[in-house]
Amino acid sequence: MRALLRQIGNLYIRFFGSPIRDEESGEFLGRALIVVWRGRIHLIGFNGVGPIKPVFCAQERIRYWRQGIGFTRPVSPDFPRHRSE
Amino acid sequence: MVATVLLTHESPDAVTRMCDHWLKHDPQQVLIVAYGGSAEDFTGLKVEHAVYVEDPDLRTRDHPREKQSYLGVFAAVAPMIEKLGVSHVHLAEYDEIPLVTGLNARLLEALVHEDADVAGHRLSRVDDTGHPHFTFHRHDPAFMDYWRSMSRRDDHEVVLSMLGCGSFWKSEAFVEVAKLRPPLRIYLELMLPTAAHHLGFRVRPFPDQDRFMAPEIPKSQADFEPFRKDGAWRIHPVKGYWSQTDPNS
Repeated sequence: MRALLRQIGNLYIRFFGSPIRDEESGEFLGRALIVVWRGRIHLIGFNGVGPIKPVFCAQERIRYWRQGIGFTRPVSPDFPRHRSE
Repeated sequence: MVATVLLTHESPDAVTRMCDHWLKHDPQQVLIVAYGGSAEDFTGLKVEHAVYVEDPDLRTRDHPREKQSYLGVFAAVAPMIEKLGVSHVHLAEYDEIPLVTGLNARLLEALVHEDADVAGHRLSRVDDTGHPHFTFHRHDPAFMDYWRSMSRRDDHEVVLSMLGCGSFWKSEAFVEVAKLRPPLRIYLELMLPTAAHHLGFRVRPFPDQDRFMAPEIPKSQADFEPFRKDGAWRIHPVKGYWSQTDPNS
């Protein structure tokens, strides 16, 4: 039953989910339902691979009345060794 | 010398088949069976190096929700790693099957190429993301407090995620992580890479192999040849392969 519901949900998101693109690279990341509820943005059923994080969108001209929130991928971990103590 | 740590809970016969297969693919490696099955079955194992993992944190059913931990595995294996004097450790689960000969040479080459101390699959930075394991753990303030308390780095807020299966370690990094005793249970996919990172080790992804290791896509013996042709070094997860009387029949 759970698997069936999941399949129906996945199918729904594939057809009706909002396309999510990387705010920085423009790359298509996946689809999800985006629902605003009680001051929070809920990302439901994101079907892309890997974690994404919210970012405020850059705007071409200054707008005080509206700010957009989009998504981006975190950069791949590439930290130098830090073993000196 | 590379030690392959094979984490399993399967029957002694299945363990023998698994070890024979791994040794056939690379006779030079040292195999260490980390056994998470029953104590009775452990006494029946016919392998040269084996440790029994008592840790109840390993024995979970819903692994992310119950925050399955491999620290008990690391703690049990680390003394043997030091005793045998191995340079690197490949951490493999029982449902990971090697597809190529000389696997450890390839893993070693990848580690050197990345100038890394630890390399793993599906490695991502997950702090400030919607990664469900991170958001679940962050609910407990003790989670971030722990990294702040033990980190040797300037930025204490970094959290990494990586599959436990198929990770490849310099022994020094493996042994240091094995010594950690966090005050809360942390799911292994967050604990292992984040701990290594905050101890100052360099953690990097394995390039181009993640798709062959995806845990959410079950595989079978029918996938071996197509995967090998597609460039896979290993395949995961293949459940029940060693439990068959003759997996190669």
